[in-house]
Amino acid sequence: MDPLRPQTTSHLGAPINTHAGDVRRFAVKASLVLITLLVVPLVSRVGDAGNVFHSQEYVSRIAEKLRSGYNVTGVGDFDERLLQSEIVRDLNIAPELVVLGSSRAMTLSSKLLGRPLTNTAMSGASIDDLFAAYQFYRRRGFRPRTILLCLDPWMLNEHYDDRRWRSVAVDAKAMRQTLGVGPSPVHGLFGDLRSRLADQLLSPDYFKASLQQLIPRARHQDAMRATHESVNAEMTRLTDGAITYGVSYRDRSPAVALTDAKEYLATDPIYGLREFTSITPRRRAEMLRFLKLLRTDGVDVRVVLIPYHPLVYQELAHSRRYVPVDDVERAVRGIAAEAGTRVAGSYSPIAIGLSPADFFDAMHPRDAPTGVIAMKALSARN
Amino acid sequence: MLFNSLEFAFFFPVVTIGYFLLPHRVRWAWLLAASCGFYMAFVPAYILILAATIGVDYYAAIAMERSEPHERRVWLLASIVVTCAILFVFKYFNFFNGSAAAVASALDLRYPVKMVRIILPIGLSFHTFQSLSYVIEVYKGRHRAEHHLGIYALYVMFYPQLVAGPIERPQGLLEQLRVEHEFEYDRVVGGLRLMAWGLFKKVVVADRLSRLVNPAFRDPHEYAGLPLAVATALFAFQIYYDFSGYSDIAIGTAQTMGFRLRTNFNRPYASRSMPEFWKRWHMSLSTWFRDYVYLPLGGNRVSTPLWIRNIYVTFLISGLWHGANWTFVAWGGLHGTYMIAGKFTASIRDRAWRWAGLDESAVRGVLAVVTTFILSGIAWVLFRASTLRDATYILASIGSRVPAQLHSILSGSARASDLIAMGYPRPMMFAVMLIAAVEVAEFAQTQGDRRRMLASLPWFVRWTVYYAFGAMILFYGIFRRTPFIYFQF
Repeated sequence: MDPLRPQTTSHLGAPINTHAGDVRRFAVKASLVLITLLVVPLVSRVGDAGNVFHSQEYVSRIAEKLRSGYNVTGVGDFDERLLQSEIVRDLNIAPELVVLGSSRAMTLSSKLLGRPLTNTAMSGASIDDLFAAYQFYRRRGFRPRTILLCLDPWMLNEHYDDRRWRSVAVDAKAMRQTLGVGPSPVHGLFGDLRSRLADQLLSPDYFKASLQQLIPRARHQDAMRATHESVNAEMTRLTDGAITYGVSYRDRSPAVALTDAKEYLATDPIYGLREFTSITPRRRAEMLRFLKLLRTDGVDVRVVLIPYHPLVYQELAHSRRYVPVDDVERAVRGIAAEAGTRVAGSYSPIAIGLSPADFFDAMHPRDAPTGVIAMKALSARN
Repeated sequence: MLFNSLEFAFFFPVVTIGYFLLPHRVRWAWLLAASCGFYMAFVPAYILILAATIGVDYYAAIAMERSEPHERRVWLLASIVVTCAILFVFKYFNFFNGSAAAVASALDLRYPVKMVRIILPIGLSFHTFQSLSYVIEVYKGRHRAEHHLGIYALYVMFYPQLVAGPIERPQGLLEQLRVEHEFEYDRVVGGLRLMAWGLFKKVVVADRLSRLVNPAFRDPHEYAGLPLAVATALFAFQIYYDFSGYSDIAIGTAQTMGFRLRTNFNRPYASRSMPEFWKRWHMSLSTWFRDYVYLPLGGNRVSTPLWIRNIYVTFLISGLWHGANWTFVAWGGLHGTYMIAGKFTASIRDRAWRWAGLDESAVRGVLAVVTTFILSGIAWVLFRASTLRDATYILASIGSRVPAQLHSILSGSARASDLIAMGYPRPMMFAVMLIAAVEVAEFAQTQGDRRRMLASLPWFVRWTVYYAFGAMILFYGIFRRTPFIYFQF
C-alpha cells in the first residue's frame, strides 16, 4: 500500500464518496439501528425478569408476608440484600442469635438449631456484605448476644468482584469507616464504572428472560405465595430469614451432586476465586478488625467453616492456581485466634466426617450436617 | 476485556469515533491509550510487563541499527533472551518445575524448588512473538528500526490484535500506523459486518458447541466410543469458530479504522492434506514458525534426517507455545509425524490412485478432505484433553468401540440419538445445523464476494437480513462471560 497515493476506490472497489457524505450516510443508518436496539433495554426495564427495577416493591411484599408470620415461597429473583435490610429493620428487639455468611449458611434456621435466631446470610456474600449485614444491626442499636460468622474462602480474596453488596453500599461503607479500613477495592479498570442496572438493561440474557415476563407483569401475575409450610416445591424464605430448598433440590441424588461438583470445578475461574493467589495483608487486617469490633461490641462470635463437596475440596486443597483451601483455613484460624475467637467446622468434609451424600451440590451441605456444625460452634466455649 | 462483552460494546465505538475525530498527528496516542486501557481491563499491573518488553525491544532494535555487524547479534540475542525469559517465567516455569519435581519424586530425590502461584498475563504468547518478529526483521535488515517509541509501542499493543493475534509483522502493521485513514463508508460497514460475523461464530455457534463438548472431555471415562468421536468432531468446529470468530472481530475492528490485519484462517477443514491444513489454519502463527524456526534451521533444503529434525523442532515448539502441558507437546509432535509420514507416503498414494484410475477424481478429493479432517481430529483430542491419560483413553475408546457401535445402530439394536447425540438430540441437531450454515456461508464466499451480493440486494431485503442476523445473535447467543479459547495462550 502506498500511503502517498490517495485512494480512489473503496474497500469493495466502488468509487469513494466524499468524506463528509460517507460520515453523514453512516451516522443516519447507525442512528436508525441504535433506535431499534432501544427495544432491548425497554423490554428489560418493563419485563424486569429479576425484579431489579421493581426491587424495593418486590422486597417489601416479601417482607410484609414474613412480618405477618408467614413463610414465602415461589419468589423470583430479587435483591436479597434489600430484603435482609428490611427484615432487620422490622425487628422489635435485638435477636439473641444471628447468622452471617453466604448461601452456605442460609439454611441455618431456628427450626434446625432449635432456638430463635435471625439469619442475615446472603448468597455470594463478600466481606462487604458481612460488614453491611452487621451494620444493619448496629444502626438499630442492636448487639446480638451471639453471631455465627460463616466465613468462605472468597471473602479473603481481594479480587472477588461480586458487586451485589452495592445495593447496601451505604451500610458497608459505614462499617468500613467504623473499622478504620479503606474503601472496598475497585475491580478492573471499568469494573466500578458500570452499575448493576446497566448490566441488566443491556444484557441479552436479561432481555430474553424479561421478554417472557412482559405479559405476566402486565397482568400483575407472579408465583409468590405465603405459606406456613417450611418446605415446599420451590425454595422458601422462612420468617427468621433462613431458607429451605425446594423438594426437587432436596431430593437430588449424590450422582447429581457429583456432576454439579465437576461442573463447578470446570468453570474458569472457579466461583469466587478469580486471581486468588494470595491473602493480602489488607484483607487479613480487614477481617481481623471486624472480628475484634464484634468482640468489643460484646458479641460472642463463633466463626464457622462450612465444608465443600469432597471432590471440590480435593481439587481446591491441592490447587496450584488458587490459594489452597487448607491454607485459607489456616489463615482464618490464625485470624480468629488473634481475635480471641473460636472456630468450628472445616472446609474439609473429611475432617467433619461428611461424605458426598451429605451435599446438595458442589458447595452446599444438606441442612442436617450444616446444623450439626453450627451446633458444635454454639456449644464450644470462647 | 473480551470482544463479546458489554464493556467492549461501549469501548469500540468510543475509540473508533475518537480516532476519526482526532487529527491524524495524535491518533497514534489515542489508539495507544485505548490499547493500554483494553489491556489493563484484565490485570492492570501486567501492563508493566508489556512496557518492559516494549522498552527492551525498542532499544535493542535501535542499538542493532547503530552497531557494527558483529555487535548486532549480541543485541538480537539480548532482546530474544529477555523476551523469552519473561514468557518462560510466567508461562512455563511451573510446567517445567512440576515435571522436574515429578522426575525427582520418581527417583526418590528431594526437590526443593517450589511452584509459583502466578497469573498468566493475557496474550503473552502473541505479543511476545510479534515483538520477536520485529527485532528479527530489523536484525536481518528487512525493516528499519522504529525510532518513535509511541508508534512502536502501538505496534505491539494495537488492541484489536493484542491478546490473540493475528500475529503481525512490522512490514504489515507498523507501516500502516503512520498512514492517515479517512472515514470510508464501505470499509467501515464491511468491518462492522465482519465483526458481526465473528460474534455470531463465537457466541451462537462455538459457545453452544462447548456445552456438548465439555462434559465428554471433562469426564471422558463416563463415555465410550461414538459419543467421544462426536465430541471430538464438535470440538474441531468449536475451536475453529471460536478462534476464527475472534480473528474476524479483530480484523473487522481494525478495518473500521482503516487498518488491514493478516487473514488468519482460510477454511482449514477444506484442506486435502496436512501441509495444506497448516497453510490454512492460524496462518499468522504457522508462517511465523516457518519464517523464524523452520527456515533458519534449513527447512527442507537439508538432508532427510535434518529435515525430520527441523519438522519436529518446529512442531514441538509450536505445541509448547499453545500450552504448558505435555498434551500440547504431544499434539505438536503428532502433527510433525503427520507431515513426515505424508511426505514419505506421497508417491505411494499417488501411484495407488493412478492405478485405481481415480487420480484426478472428485472421490480422491473428498476422501482427502475427510482423511485430513480425521487426522486433525485425532490431534485435537490431545489438544483438548486434560491429561495424556485422558487423551489415550479417548483415542483407544474411539478406535475400539466405534465400529461395533455403528454396526449396532445400523442393525437397529442401538439408538443413534443416544450414541451420536450424547443424549441431547435437539441441541445436537441445532448445533449440526449451525455448523452446516456457517460452512455453507463460508463456501459461498469462495464462490463470489457475498458482501457484494448482499450490497446489491434491495434495501428492504438487505435490512431484513441484517435484523434477522442480529436477532439470531440476540436470541441464540450465549452471553455468559466465556473467554475465547486462545486467550489462555
